[in-house]
Amino acid sequence: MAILFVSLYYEIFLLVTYIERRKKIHGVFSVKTRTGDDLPRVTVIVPCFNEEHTVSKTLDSLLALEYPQTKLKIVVVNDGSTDNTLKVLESYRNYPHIEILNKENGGKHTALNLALQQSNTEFVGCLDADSYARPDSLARIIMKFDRPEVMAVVPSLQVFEPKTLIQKIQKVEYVIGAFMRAILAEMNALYVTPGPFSIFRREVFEIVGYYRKAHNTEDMEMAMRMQVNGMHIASAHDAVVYTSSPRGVKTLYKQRVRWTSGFLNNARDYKHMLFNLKYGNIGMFVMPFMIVSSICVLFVITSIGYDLITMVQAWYLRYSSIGLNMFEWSWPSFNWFYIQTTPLLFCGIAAMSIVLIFIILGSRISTDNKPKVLEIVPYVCLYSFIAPLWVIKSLYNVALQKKMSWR
Amino acid sequence: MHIFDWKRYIITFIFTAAIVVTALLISSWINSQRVDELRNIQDSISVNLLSSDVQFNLLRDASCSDLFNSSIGQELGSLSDKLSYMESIGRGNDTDVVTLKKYYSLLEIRDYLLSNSAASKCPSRPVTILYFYKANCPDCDRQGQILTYLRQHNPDVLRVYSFDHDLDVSAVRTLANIHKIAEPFPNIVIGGKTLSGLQSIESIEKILPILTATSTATSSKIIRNQ
Repeated sequence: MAILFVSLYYEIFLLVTYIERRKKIHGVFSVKTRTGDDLPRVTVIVPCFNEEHTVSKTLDSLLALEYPQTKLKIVVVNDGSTDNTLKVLESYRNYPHIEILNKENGGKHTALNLALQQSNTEFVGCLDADSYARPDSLARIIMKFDRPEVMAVVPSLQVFEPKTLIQKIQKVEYVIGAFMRAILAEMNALYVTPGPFSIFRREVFEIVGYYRKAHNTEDMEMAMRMQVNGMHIASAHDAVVYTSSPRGVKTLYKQRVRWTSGFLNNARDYKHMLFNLKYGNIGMFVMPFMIVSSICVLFVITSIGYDLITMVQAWYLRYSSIGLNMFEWSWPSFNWFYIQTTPLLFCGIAAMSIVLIFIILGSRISTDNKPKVLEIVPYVCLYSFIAPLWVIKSLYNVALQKKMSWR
Repeated sequence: MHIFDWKRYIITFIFTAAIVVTALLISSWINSQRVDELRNIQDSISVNLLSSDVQFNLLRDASCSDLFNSSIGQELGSLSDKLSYMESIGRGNDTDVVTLKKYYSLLEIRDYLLSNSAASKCPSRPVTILYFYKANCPDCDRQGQILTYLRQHNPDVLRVYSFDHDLDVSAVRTLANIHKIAEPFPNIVIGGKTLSGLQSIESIEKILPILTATSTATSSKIIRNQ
């Protein structure tokens, strides 16, 4: 019950913040307010490691950006790929605003830092080589920098062409994620500047330094470092960026173990932020909640395990009493008397209803990605059962200090 | 620049608490509705029993089918299932439920006595099994499953009267004393004979062959219909 109270509290907090700030969140900036000469110069870094299949699409999406070519510089860094990535990149050599750098493999942060050191534009961003920016996304992100206190802007991430069931589940998850990011940005509590198309003011790196090796989640570490330095990270939920998502459970599991372990490890590195009033909502509420909710998964799994054992015991009791007769078919009869009506059930219904509200509101604010009922149902039915798998593995990894691989 | 908006945290707490309190109230209201439903069933059984009783005592010419109309058996069965459910969700010790269990036990004894007193008039009356159980007795749970199975498969020929031996009802204690109910539990009484310990489907069917006959008849009817 306490776990459900905490989850409900988190959801309601986000909802209250949304209601309070809804006008600001829904306020769409017109991209036509700034054109041509008004727009600042931007460098977009594309770090690549074995991305031969996706990097052309990534670069094509950057070439198709509705942003003046003279104001845009694309730096592609081949981080020692062992496949044909470099060969693919060579075909883009002729574009005057694309620069290709080649280096030995050293990890994503080294690729980003190499390009950062060479960039001299007012704004710098990154686009993972498996993600694709919508043509209007950069202009929409840049509009957010009209507020001088904004030091970085994260886009609205959406799943690229979801085909499998797992991808459709992720599509719904990303819609909720986009909504949550919009709210967390309003609370100045974003703890990640995602690799797909987060854009920074250049001075961010001058103040807080370059990317660091950080448990394969450099984008979380950078956001936390910015938060420590009191920098505001905004969300441009109308700037859509598509990202390739894992097709099956195994790859999804691996990706999420990396993310969750990364978050927990970074949270440990930045533990001084926890319950520290100086860091406002992120220190007092968001980070502690994320950690507590991960640990709560252990209790929830234990409780589900206990229920399963009780159920198996009941089956065994029935089997040992009446033998195979227990499998006799009878038409199920409905009687309201036997419906479980514990307070826990009603709190669960309330929590699930709020998740549905998030999906609806998320669909409204992220313009492209309206989930269908046939995608929401498997999300609701399956996600809560598969998510604990990677949370438990991550807790195990963090507890035993296991090293994570990128892939 | 980080801010911490206490007001929003307090408002959220109020909303969350309101939802939890509402959940508690709805759950408690539904449980009271359940107890009301149990009471209604008991009232219905009570009226049916009284009606049979009066017919038997005054007219002496009530037909056996009137005296042993299967609706009383079904209602007693349904009430028994629902009381078991209340026990399984941890509400077995609620004052209302305990009172209803006591009342239910008395109704069972009354139906049992009526059945016995009509024995000479109605030789083909339903056979009866008295079942005494206790809490924290795994074999009692098994016996309960077996008797429920037999009752569901023989609704017209078998009546099972189950009694919680720990229930503080003097009539139940007297009935237990008459039939020399003792450890190990469960105890079942068939045809005046008390059997101690778990009794399998086969051993009960051996004592009451009519149950086997009915089950077989039902099975063959199902096969014919297919």
